Amino acid sequence: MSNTNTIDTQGTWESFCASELLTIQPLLLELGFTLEKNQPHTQGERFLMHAVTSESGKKLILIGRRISDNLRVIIKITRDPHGIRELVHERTCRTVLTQIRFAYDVFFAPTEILFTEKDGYTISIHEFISQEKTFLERPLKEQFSLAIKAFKSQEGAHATTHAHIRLVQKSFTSAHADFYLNTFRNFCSSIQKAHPENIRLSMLLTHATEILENNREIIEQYSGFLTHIDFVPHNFRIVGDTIYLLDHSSLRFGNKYEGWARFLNFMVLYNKPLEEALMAYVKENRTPEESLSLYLMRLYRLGEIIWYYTRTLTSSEGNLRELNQKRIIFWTEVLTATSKHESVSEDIISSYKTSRDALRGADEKKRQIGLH
Amino acid sequence: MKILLATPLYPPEIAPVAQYVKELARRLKDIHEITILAYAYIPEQIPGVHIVTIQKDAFLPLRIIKYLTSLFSLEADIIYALNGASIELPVGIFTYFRHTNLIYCIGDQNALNHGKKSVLFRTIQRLLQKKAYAVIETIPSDRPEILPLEPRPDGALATWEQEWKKHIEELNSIFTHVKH
Repeated sequence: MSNTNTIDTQGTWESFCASELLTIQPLLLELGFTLEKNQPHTQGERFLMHAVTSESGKKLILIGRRISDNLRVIIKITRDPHGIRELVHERTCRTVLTQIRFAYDVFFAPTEILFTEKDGYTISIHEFISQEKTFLERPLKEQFSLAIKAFKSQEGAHATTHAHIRLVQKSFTSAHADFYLNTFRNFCSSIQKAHPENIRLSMLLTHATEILENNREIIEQYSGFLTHIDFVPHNFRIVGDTIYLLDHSSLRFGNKYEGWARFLNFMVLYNKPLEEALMAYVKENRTPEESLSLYLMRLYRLGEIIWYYTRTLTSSEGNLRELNQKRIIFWTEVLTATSKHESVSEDIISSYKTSRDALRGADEKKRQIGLH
Repeated sequence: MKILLATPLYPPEIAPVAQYVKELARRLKDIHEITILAYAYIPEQIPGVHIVTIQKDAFLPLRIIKYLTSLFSLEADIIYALNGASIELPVGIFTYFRHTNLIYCIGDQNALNHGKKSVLFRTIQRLLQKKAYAVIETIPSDRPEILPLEPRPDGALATWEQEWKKHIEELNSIFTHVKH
């Protein structure tokens, strides 16, 4: 839980965006870029989004155009020290990725147009990658094949030898069993502190901690692999057969199923048949230890998401606060089912979706269009 | 018969040769006493197979020395050595000092090509080929994947099973001749 550098409320975030945009616009103009009128990444629940286990600072993600040729671009800009470190780290990861002997022909990065510092801001500008269809709009078979291709590419990079470790240590963070266990214990104690009345959740988290502790060696056994810890459709785009990674700062060397776990937990909500197909794939083609490792990572990531929404309760109010409470309840149900190697029922999923759609703000609904 | 499988890669490594060694050990363990000597951290276990690991995170020369020391300490009627510089070098040195029944398996084409770029490793490869009782140049293909949204590849799985059956028969025949 590295970052506590959050903007507390939607009001603070909106004021921050407005004042930053006033300073940023002339600065970008000097560099030859203008901003589009609609900026989806500053709206809705964006203000709540801060990574839990990786560097995440105050930064704006904006859509703009290069004045000289009207090229559409994505502009990441920040003057927050955490944000600057995040942008520099992301750039380093992108560069080192091409030096690792791994299938870099599968993952592409959008072309970098500019990376500079100006008037205290660090600015990273990349070509906007447009895609015909979002990941979830594609046929199930295509989604499955793209996901498998992406995970296999990540697994192809395994930092085990002295030379590998030296290369990746400088650029990527790495996570081993002790990191996962300690972080999960922190999630649990923070959640229990925030919800002392929720005995059911507390017992569930204690049970999950025991499962993780009892299988420490399995977590360690599959560590040292390249994994994208936020590999979900809004962080990549697909053009033809090519996957463009939009967020390189979430790459690290960790348990090879950490990225899988995030993706599968996400698909419980967004595309259950894909989650089931990927689970079946692991069961049919990989060792029982690997299935266990995936199960453990799913528990770990579910603890993380429950902590993520628990943390947002203090900075949200009204419908959004109610929605975040519903999210905690929903992910608790998913954790309960997953810990028993079961699937959460369709009723629970559809009931949650109904509540979510009723409680989501108009800006957030707009931000969600074409996101996944 | 005591057989030592000397390999540069072993699961959880995902390279085909790592999967090959695990499958080979699994299929031989009921007939022979199998030990795997691998560069690995926490290897995937096979009931009934003894696995000795050499940590990969040390400097290369230290790794090779540790591997060589283990070769001297483990008893085996046959050493079945997978190609790859990190195996060829210690096995090459070992066979220089101690007579052994060596079977040299060139299962990793990438490692073979990589080794050919160096005069030293090219020489060691030639030396091992000369010293070996047998050289295995083809190994069964990778196991066909079962894709949940596709029909089960029963034909391909049966072919794979046949390839392995033939491979094990060929190896057992070599092992028998080595013994006599």
